[in-house]
Amino acid sequence: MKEVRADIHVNDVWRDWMREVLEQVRFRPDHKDIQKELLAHLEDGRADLVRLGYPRDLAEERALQAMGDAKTVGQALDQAHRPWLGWLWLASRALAVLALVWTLWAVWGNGLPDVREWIEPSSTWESEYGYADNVSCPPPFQAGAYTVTVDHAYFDRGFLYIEMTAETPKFWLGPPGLDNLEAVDSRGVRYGRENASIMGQSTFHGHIRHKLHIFGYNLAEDPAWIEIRHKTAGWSFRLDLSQGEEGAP
Amino acid sequence: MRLPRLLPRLNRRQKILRNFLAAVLLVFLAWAVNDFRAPTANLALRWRAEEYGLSAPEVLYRSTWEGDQRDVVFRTEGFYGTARETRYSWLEYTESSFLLVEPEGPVVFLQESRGMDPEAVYVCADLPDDAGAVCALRLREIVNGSEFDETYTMEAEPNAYGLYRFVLERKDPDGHLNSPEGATLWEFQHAARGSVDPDFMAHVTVTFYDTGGREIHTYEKTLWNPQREE
Repeated sequence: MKEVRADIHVNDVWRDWMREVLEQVRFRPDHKDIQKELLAHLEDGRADLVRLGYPRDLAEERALQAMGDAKTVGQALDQAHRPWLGWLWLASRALAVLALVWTLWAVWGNGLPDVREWIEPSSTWESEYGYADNVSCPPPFQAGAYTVTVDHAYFDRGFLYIEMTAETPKFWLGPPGLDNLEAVDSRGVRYGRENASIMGQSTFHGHIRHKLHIFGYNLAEDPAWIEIRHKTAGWSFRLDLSQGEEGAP
Repeated sequence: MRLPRLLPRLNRRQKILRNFLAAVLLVFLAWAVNDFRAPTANLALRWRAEEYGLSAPEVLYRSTWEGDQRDVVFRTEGFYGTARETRYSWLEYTESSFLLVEPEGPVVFLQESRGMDPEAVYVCADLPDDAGAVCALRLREIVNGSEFDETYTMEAEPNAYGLYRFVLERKDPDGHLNSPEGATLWEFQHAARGSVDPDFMAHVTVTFYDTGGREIHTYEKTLWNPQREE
């Protein structure tokens, strides 16, 4: 057991008593704090008795007697400072410190994420492309882990542009993969990656909500409708191209 | 540190709870700052597959780490695919976008999912008694006005999943990306993503053998057609 440290104010009797108390307390990391507390109690008792007129030696002896039997006190303290709880406390403290260090390291390396962009990703429909909706948007549909809403659609002379929002409660997922799109129109013409006529892209570094863009090039100029299909996920939606009216998002 | 008098003094159990809660919140924040990277490679692959609407893939092959990256070949729901795994730390993994192929028969040809500098091509074969194969990959491209036309002949044996890894031996080992071979291989990788140069052509022939050396099957496919006459 670690020796009760030498102190100019602690006599040998006190030191031996505290040693005997600490021998009963199994959780060693608390010994220092317990010793401090016991010493404070002893000094307070001595000070009170000295104020009452007791000689210093007698005051120290009576203060020690008032503390009680060392073994009994030690056993009571051992109950209050249970080893498993003590180790758990130290572990929780170490874990919190490690977590703090890891977080600071991550923030220092990457900066804080733009959470607003996760919840309300920016639309480039007006700001970058300036298209006017001229195709009715279909109702939202389920696409695996995502709920997809077609926000805007534009079609003119064989060019198709769609902006959509994909939302998922699985915040750890990124945007849906749009590498495997294909399409078929009302004339039975098929479009896919092979002829580079239909392709999609999504926002990067996003979570929860994602903006998706689908482009179609060199499509037939006046089909009645076009159906976009995702080959691996299996979802699809159809755009009515016959109306040419302002679409509602 | 002394607590201000207005705050209650916590006992040890309360401190433990406070510390664990703080650790959980901080870990979540660190995870979010790191873009929710998966703690294992398999989980990263599964999450990426979910982004494609696919179920958890079965891994057929993983290469050794080249620095912090390696290739993975997998199959799921009738698709075969390749991806590039990146390791940011021992607890952070991500997957690149998938290169997916739908099989048209018992043999599937796969390319590495990387933008340039391929090291190998893969073939997955569902054949009885195949013990080895020879792959001849012919690539042709016009680079700076001159023609690059080479055939890579490679041998391999299947792993437990019937996957062959054919290592591409460079014709010009010292060549850089702008060399005729480098540019052709770059085109080979980009053609797989749907952007094909009109002058580019790729044709693959894979011949399978049994343990006795007898030819049991041949797979042949023109991956991309040239626009000009041969």
